[in-house]
Amino acid sequence: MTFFQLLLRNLVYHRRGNTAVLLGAALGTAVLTGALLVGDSLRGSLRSLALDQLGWVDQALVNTRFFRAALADGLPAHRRCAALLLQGSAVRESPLSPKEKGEGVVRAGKAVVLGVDAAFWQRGPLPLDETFWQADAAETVLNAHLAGLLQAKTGDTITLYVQRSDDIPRESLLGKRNAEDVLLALEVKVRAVLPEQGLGRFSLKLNPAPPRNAFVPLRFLQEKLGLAGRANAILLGHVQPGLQEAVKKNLTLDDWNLKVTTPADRARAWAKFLDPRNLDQGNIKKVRWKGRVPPYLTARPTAEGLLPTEEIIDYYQSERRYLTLESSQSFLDPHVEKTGRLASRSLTWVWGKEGMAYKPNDTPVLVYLADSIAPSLPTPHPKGAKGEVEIPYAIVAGMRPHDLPLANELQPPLQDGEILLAQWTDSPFLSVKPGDKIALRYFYPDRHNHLELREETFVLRGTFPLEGRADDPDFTPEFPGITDKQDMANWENPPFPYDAKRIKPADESFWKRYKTTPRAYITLATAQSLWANRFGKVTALRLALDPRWNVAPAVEEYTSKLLAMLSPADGGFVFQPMKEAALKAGAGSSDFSMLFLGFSFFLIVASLLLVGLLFRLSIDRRANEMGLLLATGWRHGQVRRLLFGEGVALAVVGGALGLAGALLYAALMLELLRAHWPGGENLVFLHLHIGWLSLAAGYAASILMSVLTILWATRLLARLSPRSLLAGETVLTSFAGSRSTRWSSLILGVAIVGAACCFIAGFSVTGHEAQAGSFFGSGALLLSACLALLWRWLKRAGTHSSLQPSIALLGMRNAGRHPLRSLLTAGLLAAATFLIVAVQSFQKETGDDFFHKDGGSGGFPLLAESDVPIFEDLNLPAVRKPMKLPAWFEEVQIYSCRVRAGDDTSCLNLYQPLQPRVVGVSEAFIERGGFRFASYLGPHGTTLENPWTVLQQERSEFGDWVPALADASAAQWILKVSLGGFVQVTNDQGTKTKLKIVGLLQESIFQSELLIADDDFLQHFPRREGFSFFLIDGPLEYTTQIQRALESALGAQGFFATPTVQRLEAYHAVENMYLATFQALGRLGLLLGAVGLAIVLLRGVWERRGELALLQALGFRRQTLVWLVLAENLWLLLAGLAAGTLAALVAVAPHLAGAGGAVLGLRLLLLLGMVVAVGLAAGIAAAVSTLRAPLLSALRRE
Amino acid sequence: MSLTVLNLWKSFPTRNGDLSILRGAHLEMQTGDALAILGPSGAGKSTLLHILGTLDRPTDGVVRFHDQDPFALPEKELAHFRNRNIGFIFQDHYLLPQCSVLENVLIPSLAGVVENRAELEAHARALLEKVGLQERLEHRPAELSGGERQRVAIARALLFHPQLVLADEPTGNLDRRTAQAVGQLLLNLQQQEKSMLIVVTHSPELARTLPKQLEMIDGVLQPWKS
Ligand SMILES: Nc1ncnc2c1ncn2[C@@H]1O[C@H](COP(=O)(O)OP(=O)(O)OP(=O)(O)O)[C@@H](O)[C@H]1O
Ligand SMILES: [Mg+2]
Repeated sequence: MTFFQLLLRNLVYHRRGNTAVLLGAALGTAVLTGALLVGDSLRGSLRSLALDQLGWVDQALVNTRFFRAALADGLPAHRRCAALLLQGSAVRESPLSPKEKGEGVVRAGKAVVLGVDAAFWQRGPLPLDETFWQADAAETVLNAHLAGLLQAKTGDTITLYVQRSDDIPRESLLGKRNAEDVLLALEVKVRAVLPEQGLGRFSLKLNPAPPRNAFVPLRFLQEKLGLAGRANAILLGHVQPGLQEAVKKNLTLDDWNLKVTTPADRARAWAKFLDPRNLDQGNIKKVRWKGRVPPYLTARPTAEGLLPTEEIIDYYQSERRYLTLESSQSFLDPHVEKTGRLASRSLTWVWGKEGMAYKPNDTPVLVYLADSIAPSLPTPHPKGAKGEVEIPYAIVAGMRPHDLPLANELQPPLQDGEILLAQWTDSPFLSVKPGDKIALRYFYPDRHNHLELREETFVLRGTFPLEGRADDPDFTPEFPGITDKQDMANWENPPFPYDAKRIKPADESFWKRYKTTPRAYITLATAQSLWANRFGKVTALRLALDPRWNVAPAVEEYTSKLLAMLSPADGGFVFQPMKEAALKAGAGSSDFSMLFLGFSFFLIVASLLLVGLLFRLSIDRRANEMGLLLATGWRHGQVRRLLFGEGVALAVVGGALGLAGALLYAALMLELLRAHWPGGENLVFLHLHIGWLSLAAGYAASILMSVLTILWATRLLARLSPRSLLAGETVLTSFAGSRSTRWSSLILGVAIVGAACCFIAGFSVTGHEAQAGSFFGSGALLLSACLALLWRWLKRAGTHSSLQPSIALLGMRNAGRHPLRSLLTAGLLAAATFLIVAVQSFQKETGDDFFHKDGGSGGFPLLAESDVPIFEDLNLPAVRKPMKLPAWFEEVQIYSCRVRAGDDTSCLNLYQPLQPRVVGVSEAFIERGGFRFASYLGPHGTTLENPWTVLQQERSEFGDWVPALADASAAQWILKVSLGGFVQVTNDQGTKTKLKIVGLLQESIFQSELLIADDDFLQHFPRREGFSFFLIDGPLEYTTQIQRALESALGAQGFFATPTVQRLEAYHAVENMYLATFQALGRLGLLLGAVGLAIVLLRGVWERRGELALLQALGFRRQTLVWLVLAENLWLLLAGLAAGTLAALVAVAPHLAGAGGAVLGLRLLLLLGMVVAVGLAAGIAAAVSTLRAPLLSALRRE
Repeated sequence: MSLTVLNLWKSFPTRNGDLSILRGAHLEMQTGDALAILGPSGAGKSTLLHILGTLDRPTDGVVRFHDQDPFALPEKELAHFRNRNIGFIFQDHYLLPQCSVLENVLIPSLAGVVENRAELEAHARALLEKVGLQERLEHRPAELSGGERQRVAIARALLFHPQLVLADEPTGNLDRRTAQAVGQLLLNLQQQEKSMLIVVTHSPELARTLPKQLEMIDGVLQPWKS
């Protein structure tokens, strides 16, 4: 026989004890590896969902402007598709009660309307045939999720609401803001419903919530939006190198919404204006041009009175000889303006044999529509009063003094604050003199897009005749509905306050002849100080052309220079690597898997303690076997090696079993998550993903840990003499200060100091990893300290005798008889208790003070979001009137906020937010204050009366960051940023804006977004227009009524209000669901503890059955004996419980102080009671079952 | 080979201070000597035997095997010394239940490197033949009677031709006839092996079969007065 044969023989012979150890090791492996697999699965599922959602799309470009769909052509990718992606809402009117408004209407918000053609479906299973997608039928294909929400089926008619397209910024003077102008209703028939998979799930947004897609043919959507041939998104699959260069090469001025016009272009446009239907093939009849053209042209018509377009072109070529750079957005984007000027300066036009060089002069122009120009009267006067002289709706142009049409005649040049007025025959200002005060009234949209009438007084510098360069209507960019009308009376629905009665015959005649020619000039600087906005500070750039230079090559050269110099990124023409981002974000946002592992750690420790305990018990049982081996000359080392070998074999086999268990465990945990995820269906994508690395790591780590535990369990053997072992002793009995007490002192000291450090650190550290570390660290160390203390006490209890033995004392003494065994049992229970108590104290509930102004809701009963932005101030009576709201609605105050759509930063989003959603809050909102701050960075550390003002803090020139607020939980767990830290978001210039977290809100409703001040928002996200996030202040008891009233009034915009408490509870539900999972771990730990306790008890009773029989023989009642046995274990139970509770409460304390968890109370007591009950039940069962056996037979056996 | 024990003291720590069990025991033996130790229960006979068998350490005094102090050896060598020079027979035979009779006898051979395993196995078989168990080599201890088990234990103790064989109440659990047989067997084997033998027993009958008897009283060894 060899050593190994003996080892194998032992394994088989002691199979009962070994099986227990094996199962313990298996459990440890299962818990550890299972925890790793849960993490793998979470990440893997998120990743595969993200990839599934993207379908074939690798990279995507989504722009705020509409560009040519043809831009996609020729981009280096195997698959290309231009599309219109629009946010909107869907409504299905139930045919049952069409009359009752609000009733019988099913709405679904957050819908995405995708205008796509067959290229989108290519190579996938094509829903409906190719011709459908290439045509323009008013039909839609819904995905199952949206169809389900709408309860719509094939053949139903639904209405999709999207935002109308308009190049003119809605938040500028001429922007169209009222609901009819903003909303476009598309009535479509449902042709098919796509299953919840493949492209039916298509979404560029990473969110576990399934998208709500309505696919319509691209051409249909283009036509409805008036965007023929245009798109706002390009999707690419299998991208090849050189994409960005190809984009730049493909871009035209049209894509930038820009155009460079030549004199001939403008001449033709004018000809078209005069004769829109071109009835006479470019020859304009006298009736059309009479009184409308400059004197030069009145002499040009043919004998029949026909004015040929060529004549107009000639006129333009000589009199209005310049190029203009204009945008259909009316203002030139600041970067376009800058690039346009740089491009013009880089030009050198060379002509003739002499090689003369000419540099064109770039002339910026800002024109604005004034409400009126009038001589300033000394006292306020009623508007439109009799005798008042005014020019209503006049165009005023701002130019640099030396660029003015009459610059040469003005010496010194025009000053800021001075004005030049046009003089013509019907001018009402014929009597004004230089030096008179002239009042300029104009409208300007304030922060809530409320047009404010402002007045500016100018000093009249002089007047000028409307001739030469001053006779030019092309200063003003086109504005459909106004500039294309031949008479002022025909203006269509002007978006500014307009009163037709103010237009006098003189105004009409001016329009007839001069149309949009400026009636006044001021300096560009003054104009910009009045009218510049975030969309730009110039309406056109002009490049005067020398008469000797040919126009065509000039345009070509300027255009190509401009395009070469415009950076596609500035215009948002940047492809985002969607697939890459998906893989990155799939790594998960919340550290659920890390936390899970952290909490599992205690369970792993518990199972290791069980392994140690079981192994220890088996050694105890085999003590004399060890003793005999020693007596026959085995070395201690050999004996230990034998035991160790057995242990390793058990760990290896147990671990392998545990791996199978891990799969089961992980699958169960995922099932638990799936089942308890608030909102249910969202997590159906969660599937078991097996990471081989995790399996290997989990297996290796568990074996290592089991082996170390076993090594430790056999350690004591070295110090026992063979004689003691032969006598069955496995405990070192010593009375003086032994090594083990010294060890325990050391552990106690180190653990207490360490725990204290962690505890203190828990209050001060802010990094979430550090916080979690301090929590788990102080927990583990405190547990160790408690157990070290218990060890000392057990040693003492085991050795000291007392004069008056009682049952309880006898129990304690017995607990001390096998101190290690007792310690392990108590440790098991302590670990389980720790888990349960710690998790319980993290449980969150909505506090009573939630509705206070200083609570988490900020005193707002409701918040709302709209799918299509709202551009009007919902507090204005004029806006509210058509909404037919009840009288008490006066009390309702709505704070509108701007939103840069992005990733949800709350725990509701399992993905890592790469582009967090940003909300801009208004000044009024900041002034209102409220909410509770966990912390903030006041200027120089001061406390602020209203911490919201940190958003408005002064920043040094060099501070290139924007102050932002975040919710404390979102910052800690999802964004992983602490106070003073930075988060980067892509701004509208395509660069990164650094948001500095200057304040953390506590338990607030703002977990899904970052908050910045409106000013900063407009600066960094100038192209995001309108309000789509609302905080609604009103009487709490009317919450439901307010919600209903607003939702039905603004339903088409996809306005959905949510009670703030509901939003907070949604967050809590997720957090509490996580905690429920951890709680399950705690219960499993408790089960282990109970098993351990029962085993120890059974073993103890078995070992002492003789002793117990004797006591019975001496006249003890069986019941008393049960109590005796229980007393011993009750001590362990209570000791473990106390250690676990204490450690948990102390470890949790710093984190509760910071985050305000629910008050521990009855529920905790209940839980602890449950632990005691389970322990006692295990004890009683064990004691009773053993003591029921005839004890006297046991006595005889001794 | 000789065994010298001089002024041997052994005390155990207890709750009420140290308790001295051996209080200056003397003993002298030569190769081939056989000795019975008697004495009242609790006198310290087993304690003395444990110390002689190097299973426990003396508090004070000298133990010499042929001028060598085994307790001065490091643990590894002490174990080897015990393995090769001492054979222990206990009242409880301590056979490994998971091993066969032959394997049990060979247990000491697993403690170190053995040059010729086959030879050793042959020796084990021979020993088992001598104790009359040649038919039971593959049996498990559970299948043997008390006397048979004790004979296996004797064979195990003699595997490496130990110089000193220590038997602590080897017949304590046996009936008189079996006890007598086992005692006789022990003595025969001792004479064949030419080793020293110390038998602790409560049985004057067994003691008388040995050439010399001592009695343990008050922690010292005295001549036996029957
Ligand atoms: N580990 C120990 N700790 C304390 N006292 C011990 C220890 N081992 C033995 N004793 C004490 O030493 C004394 C002698 O014990 P020992 O086993 O040597 O007696 P013995 O003579 O063999 O008795 P018996 O004939 O009953 O076997 C006893 O009183 C016992 O209480
Ligand atoms: Mg004895």
